[in-house]
Amino acid sequence: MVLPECASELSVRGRVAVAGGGAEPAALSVAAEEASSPAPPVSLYCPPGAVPVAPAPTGRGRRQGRLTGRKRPSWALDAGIGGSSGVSGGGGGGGSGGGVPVGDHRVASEMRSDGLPASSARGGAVVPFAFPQGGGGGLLAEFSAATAEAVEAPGRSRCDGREGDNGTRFEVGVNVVGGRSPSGSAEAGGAAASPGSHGPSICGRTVRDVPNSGVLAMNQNAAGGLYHGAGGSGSGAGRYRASDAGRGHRGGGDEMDAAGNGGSFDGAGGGRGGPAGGGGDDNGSGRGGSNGRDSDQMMVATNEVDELYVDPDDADSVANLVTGLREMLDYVRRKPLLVGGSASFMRDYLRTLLASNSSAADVAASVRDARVTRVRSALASAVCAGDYQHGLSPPPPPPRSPGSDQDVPMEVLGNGDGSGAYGVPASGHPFPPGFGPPIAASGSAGFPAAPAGDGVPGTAGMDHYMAGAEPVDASPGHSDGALVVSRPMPSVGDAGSLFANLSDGLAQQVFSYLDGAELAQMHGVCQRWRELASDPDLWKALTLRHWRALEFDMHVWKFIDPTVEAGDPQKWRRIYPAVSTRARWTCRLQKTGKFICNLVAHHIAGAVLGDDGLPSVLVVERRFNIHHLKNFVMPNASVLYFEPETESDSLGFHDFIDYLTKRTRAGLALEEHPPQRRFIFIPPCEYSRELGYYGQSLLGVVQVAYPPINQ
Amino acid sequence: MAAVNDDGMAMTTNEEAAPKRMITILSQDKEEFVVEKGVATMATLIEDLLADVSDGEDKIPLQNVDARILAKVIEYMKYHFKLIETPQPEDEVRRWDREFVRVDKSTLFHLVLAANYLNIQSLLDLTTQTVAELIKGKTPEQIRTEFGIVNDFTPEEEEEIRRDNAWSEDR
Repeated sequence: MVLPECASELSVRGRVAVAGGGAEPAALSVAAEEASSPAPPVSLYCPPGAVPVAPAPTGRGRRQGRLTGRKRPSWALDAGIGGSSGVSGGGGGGGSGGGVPVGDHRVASEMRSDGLPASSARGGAVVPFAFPQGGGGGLLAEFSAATAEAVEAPGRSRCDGREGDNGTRFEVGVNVVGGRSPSGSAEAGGAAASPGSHGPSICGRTVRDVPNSGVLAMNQNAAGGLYHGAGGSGSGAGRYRASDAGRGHRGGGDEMDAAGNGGSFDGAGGGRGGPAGGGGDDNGSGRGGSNGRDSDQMMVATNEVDELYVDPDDADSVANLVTGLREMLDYVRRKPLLVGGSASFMRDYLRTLLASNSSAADVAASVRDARVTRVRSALASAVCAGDYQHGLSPPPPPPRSPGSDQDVPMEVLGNGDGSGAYGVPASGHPFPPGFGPPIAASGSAGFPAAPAGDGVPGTAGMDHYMAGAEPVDASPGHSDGALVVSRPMPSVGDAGSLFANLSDGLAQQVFSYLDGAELAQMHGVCQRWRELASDPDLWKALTLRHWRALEFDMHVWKFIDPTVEAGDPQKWRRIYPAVSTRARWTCRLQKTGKFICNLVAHHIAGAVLGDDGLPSVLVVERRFNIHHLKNFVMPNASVLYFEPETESDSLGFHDFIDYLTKRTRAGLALEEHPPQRRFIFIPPCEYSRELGYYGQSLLGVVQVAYPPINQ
Repeated sequence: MAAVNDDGMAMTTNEEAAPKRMITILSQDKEEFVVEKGVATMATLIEDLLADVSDGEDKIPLQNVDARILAKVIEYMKYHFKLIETPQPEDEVRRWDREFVRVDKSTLFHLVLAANYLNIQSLLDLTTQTVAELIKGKTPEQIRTEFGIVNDFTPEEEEEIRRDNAWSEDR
């Protein structure tokens, strides 16, 4: 690990003033306010089109914005806390409005390298930025950035919204377009054209989810102007590492996030050819960041960077939330048909997003301490990453679109123009183990699926199940060529991943504890649940719980629901509602004094039985010839279907049917109390077929006393 | 045999006669848990593994369960193993089980996976049923919110599902 040759603490104070109007680029100037030594240059540089700046694992070892794990590279607001002298603020690159990213980051970074003095001094600079706001509103933000003490360990540096406050957070999102910072003088002239951009975007917390941003950025590019430009909610993640600082990148590694790109949802057209901010400006001074990317608006937000690194798995980040929002819009964009319909799915999505985001926040707090510790030790033993799942195989390819119900590692699916190439250190990259390799998304499809939950070894235990997450097929629209962004792998305990990690069999076991109405409700959760909750075995079991004989006696199905066809694989689910609502009773059947069996009686036709139902005991006292049934049975009498209550009742039940059949008799039970109903037991015979039943079970008829049977 | 049921007596006798064979279960993150063989074999997976190795081998490494979850599982196995010797009233066992699964959702789901992997049927039943309790009686929206599931239906599909399952509402 390269250490800065001398520790330094620089602070840059920037004052951002919004001035100018319209889309005119505003000048961005940075005045150095001397602290102790040469003022550090401040440069805002935005890689073109938010093309992520590669962590250039080049020989020079320079990387800006450290990418760890699957991090998103980003263009960054390089609050250059540069080393003294040599660094001159490069031109702030223009942002890209969704244009084609052309990123020659490489160059940028090289340039940078030039200017990096190894030593840095303490310096402060006031940087006034002028931003044209659409409305001419002004935005004034001051920030200061301080690089960390460059000591052995990676230091920390933060920016803060308050002037002069070193080491604090800088929470301002600025729409910047092309800024430049002349060197030495620590003056940065920037051209910012951000029509209507909204002001500062706040990045409240450390953006851990770096990968997101990067991808978003890409996405944005791809989208090229789909969302028009005014950078709305920007959020950025800035990360400063001492090591960067040491290399002169002071404060450098900021990661830009999606918003950074300027722009997103609102209006100003993307792609305006902006003033090329940067390219040209990137003079040798090295700091210019952007290569000629014009951008209408760039939102830059730096973030607190007070951690050693940024956790790639943290779903609780501005970037992540922005990603979610963007995914939704992206989805809508790809589905023009949806526009006319109800927005309920959007409400659902938003609710879901909020829920998972807040649960991630809870988790983040608890995990954080442990993480820091782990990373320290990880740094100590600079092993290369790569071993993710403790022997488990890497996770299957993640779902590729917003539609999925699980969180997956970030993945960028080709936008084909090669613009997105992030540098990937092939080996020996300096990142601590567990961070995984930086994202490689070269233009086309994915980079190796980032290890799911490959965080720090210590967490693997918790994460290992995640690795088994089944891919959910994705969703709509992933084939349309646009960049598709998927969500990041959940951190431990992320509620969103819980069900996703249960195999179908386990999920169905869970479902088996639900009743039919509950199971039916599960259909409405998501596609996967709909599938799982349609399992015929589940519905069959539920149905048979109400009516065992349905498993074998197909003849009675038509009495329950004539629309259900025997060949329908979903017949159980379809028959269930009618079965479950149909009246049924259990009773004990006896011949005079002698137990026959326990019965379940289901009402299948005729008048309903009413509140009385069936008596708990039916005693067959008489029998009569089945040929008389036609005369005895009243029209519209209640018709019942009997079945043995349990398997152990089957023998007695079938013996009783045999007994009646052999004698061609029907059985009769009488009710002693009013209304003195008659209960007639009918074995399979001509008459039962006349009722429409062709099966072999026992039917029953219930009617009041007429016609008189006793006479 | 009444005396044998007396905890202290029985244990002493057994140990003097033949020391219990102890099994070391190694969690994924390399923590060791030493338990009686009888406890360990509450998990069918471990029973099968032990059957396959020679008698001298008493270390069982588990690839898929970390220490935190394994500790929890072993707590379950110990309790239920002890029930074999000293049965408790069913109510008491149920109360213990209910208390056992009173954990956060993440832990609960990991217990499901661990029970499945280790093949402990009773624990699998207990945990899956507990998960079912979490979703019972909730609307799809509530479930999506609680478990962070994304609604991936098109409006048309939603309508179709609503039609199909209209019968299940307000039941």
